[in-house]
Amino acid sequence: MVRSKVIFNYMGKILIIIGIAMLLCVSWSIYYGEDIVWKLTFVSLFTILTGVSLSITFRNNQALNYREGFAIVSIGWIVASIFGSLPYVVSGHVFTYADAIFETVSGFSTTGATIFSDVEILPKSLLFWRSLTQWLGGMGIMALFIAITVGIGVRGNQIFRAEIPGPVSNKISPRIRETAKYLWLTYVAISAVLFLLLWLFGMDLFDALCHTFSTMATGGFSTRNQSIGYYGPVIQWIIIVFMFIGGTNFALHYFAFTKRTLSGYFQNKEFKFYALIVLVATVLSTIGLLSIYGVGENLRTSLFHVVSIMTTTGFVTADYNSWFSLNKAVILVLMFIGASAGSTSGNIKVGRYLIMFQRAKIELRQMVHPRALISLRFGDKVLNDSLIINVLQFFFIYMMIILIGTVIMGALGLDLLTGFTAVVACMGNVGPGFGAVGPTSNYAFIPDVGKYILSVIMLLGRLEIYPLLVLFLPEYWKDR
Amino acid sequence: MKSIIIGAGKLGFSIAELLSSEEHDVVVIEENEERAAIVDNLLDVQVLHGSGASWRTLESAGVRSADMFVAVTEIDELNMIACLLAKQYGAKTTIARVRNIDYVETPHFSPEALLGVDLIINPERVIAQEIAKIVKNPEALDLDYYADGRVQLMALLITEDSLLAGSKLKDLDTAKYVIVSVLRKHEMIVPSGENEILAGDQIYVMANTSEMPEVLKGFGIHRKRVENLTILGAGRTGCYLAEIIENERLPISVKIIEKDVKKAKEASNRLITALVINADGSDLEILETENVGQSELFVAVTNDDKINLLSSLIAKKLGVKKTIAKVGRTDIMPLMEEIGIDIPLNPRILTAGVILKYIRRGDIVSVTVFGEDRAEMIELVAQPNSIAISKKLKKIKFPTGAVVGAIVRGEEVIIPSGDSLIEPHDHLMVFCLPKSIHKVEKLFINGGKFRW
Repeated sequence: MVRSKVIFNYMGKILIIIGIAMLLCVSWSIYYGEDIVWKLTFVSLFTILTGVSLSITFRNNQALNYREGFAIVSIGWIVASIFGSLPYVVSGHVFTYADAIFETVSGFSTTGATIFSDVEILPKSLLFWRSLTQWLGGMGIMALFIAITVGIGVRGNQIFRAEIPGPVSNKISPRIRETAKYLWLTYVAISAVLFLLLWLFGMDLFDALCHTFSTMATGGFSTRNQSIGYYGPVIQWIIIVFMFIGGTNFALHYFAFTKRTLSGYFQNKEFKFYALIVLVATVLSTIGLLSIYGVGENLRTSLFHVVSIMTTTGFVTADYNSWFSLNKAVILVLMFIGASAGSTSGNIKVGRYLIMFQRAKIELRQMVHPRALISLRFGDKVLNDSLIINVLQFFFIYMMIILIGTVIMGALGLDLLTGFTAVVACMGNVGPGFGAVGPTSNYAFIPDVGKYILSVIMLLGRLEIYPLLVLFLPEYWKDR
Repeated sequence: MKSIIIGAGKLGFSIAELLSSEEHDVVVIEENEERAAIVDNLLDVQVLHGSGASWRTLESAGVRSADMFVAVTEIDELNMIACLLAKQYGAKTTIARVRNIDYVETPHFSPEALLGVDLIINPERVIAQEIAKIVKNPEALDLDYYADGRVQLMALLITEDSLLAGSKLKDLDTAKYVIVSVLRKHEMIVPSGENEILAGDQIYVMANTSEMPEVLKGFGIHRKRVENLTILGAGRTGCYLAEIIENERLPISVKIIEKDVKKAKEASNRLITALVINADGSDLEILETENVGQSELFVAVTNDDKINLLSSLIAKKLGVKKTIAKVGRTDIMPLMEEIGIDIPLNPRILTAGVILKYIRRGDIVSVTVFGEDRAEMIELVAQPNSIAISKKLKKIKFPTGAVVGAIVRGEEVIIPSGDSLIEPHDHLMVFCLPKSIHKVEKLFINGGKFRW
């Protein structure tokens, strides 16, 4: 059974984190002398106080049960999104509440789809909040919560599993809190390196910080209307490398750092496959763009977009909407793939494809040898059947959501390409799609209903469907 | 020499028999009273009833003065503890049978050193290694390596169309090899020049390992690699064998047939490239659909002799070139070859062979026991003051039933002729029948000092 007392208690604690994060925006607001500083202070204090009163009113020291883990993650993300939308609401730069919620969910889920057509006129504090939500959502709000909560113990397990993406999660420490802590520390450390590099190579402090947040989280919000296209080749190369790093399993980074060897990457099948897809897609894309760009620029632009879309970041330096069919096809396919499990990227992920490809091969081999028992291996682990079914089901539900979403977008009057790719880009947490939601456009024109639906789809994509979808199952709430 | 054996199962019995015939004073400790009584009746050994891991039993068996301590009960842990105790008591050499490879194959420490056991032996692994040797040299019925692998001994079957069939030994060009023995109708002969080789004989050929392919070519035997291997039974032996093939990255596609779902599942989880089929291996239809006839080699290693036998025969019928079957009962071994099993392997004989090889170490580098007659291939070092030194081979009074197969001097391998000279510290590979072993040792070892 799901105890409301427990849920409220945890929601309170999560709100405290969100509120403190908002206070960081307040400091930027003060620094730049913006007129929304009091409004921001008010909403952040309101969030913190709500959090404190919730956690005090609903004291809880009991262990979480299996079901509550899902509820805390899913409801936690919804609550975080609702309160996270407050800065947008009070800023007066959004027209409807749907816009505010869409922008917040897009931030937390690291999608990077926006409703702002001109971001450069927004207050700096709001731009900072946009990027910060991505950074928090990238490694996971819950993971951060687990990492800083003393004595969470076994209760963290359910939460952590539900939030960290990918079919097979590797605990890097026997304790879940330590695991979350080390992952977050790795994330912070790499972010610091990126920040210094961006700052050194010409971005100002504020832009460097915001872009660090959205790059590491493979989010995609920029402080510039032209996205990364505003900056020179050096910055673009740095962003390419760190988007790729953000799309890699952070456990691998952790082991590479602690063991001081890169061998972990090259022994990892998923990483190798991930790199291979990037390579192949870049070659195809470069061939497609031969007639537009010179060699150096072609290579950089191709690689940039391949990595950006595959890691579900969504940064752009050019309008791929105007490219050739081959390039568009490559980008569309990449929108269905995603990067590694355990990374900050969204989408279906290379690991799941590896499992599905192997399963397909086994299916064929089994036609030849009907009585053969063939095990499916992921790394050196043998996967059991229930996990394989979980992966196949994940793919099925993923596709069903895209199909249903496309129909709804059609009903709302979006043209087929726009509607379809809007759903694909939101489900995969990519950001830009094709057509009217392409890299140079935004999601502002979509009706409010559509924005709410896309927000749900973004959350489904970020939480990898199951934890959120299970809340819709009546049995889940019944005491059984 | 005093030896203590813990556990009088099949293996314990064999070892007791072997050691007792080698003039050891053998004490057997057995927990099961019936088994104890059987050993007492059949062997000239002392039998104690009790646990091998109990200090009382060990002390009353005289463990303090034991030269050889062999623990071969069914229980790995008991064997290890018994050896540990025996070593503390002062037993000189300890040998334990340990089947669980997790205890034995640690990458970081030598388990022998850790446990104080001098030799850890795993019968299933011994068989798997033996089969793996044949997989790599499919033309051989049996083979072994000496002098760090520089010299190879191979048992070959002479067929009707063989180039050797019908020729006399003295007419052959034996510059590159020596035929050390001929096995004819279960009788081991050390041939002289006048002997003729007949179809149906099994000959033992010794040659330089690197020259063996050439020698085989001269015999008209074309090396055929094993490309497809079918293993029946995914028990320990079957899995070890498949693992050896995987680890050595041999280009062989391995198919394992196992009836038990659980065992099959385990095997498929453990093995990476081998294909595990969950089916009854004695079912003709299964063997046909799985195209077993295509395999060059069929290995039946289930724990059931009858299944091994039946499936091997079916496989042979379907076109498999060579069959290897594990046979638990030694009494039916001669029959197996007659009905068409190419290589019957008995775990006990092989394991006893390994143990014998170990306990004979000393003046003798290594020993391998062949066939039912227990002929031995001995690798020994010619000692500086012994009788045979600085003499040509033909001048040495060699006992009948013994022959020098190869001489290894430093890095050089010499295939001997009558004019070959023996120098001090030469490694000699001598094939001899049991009755002439003592005489051979007297020739090459100081003052004819005899092992124990």
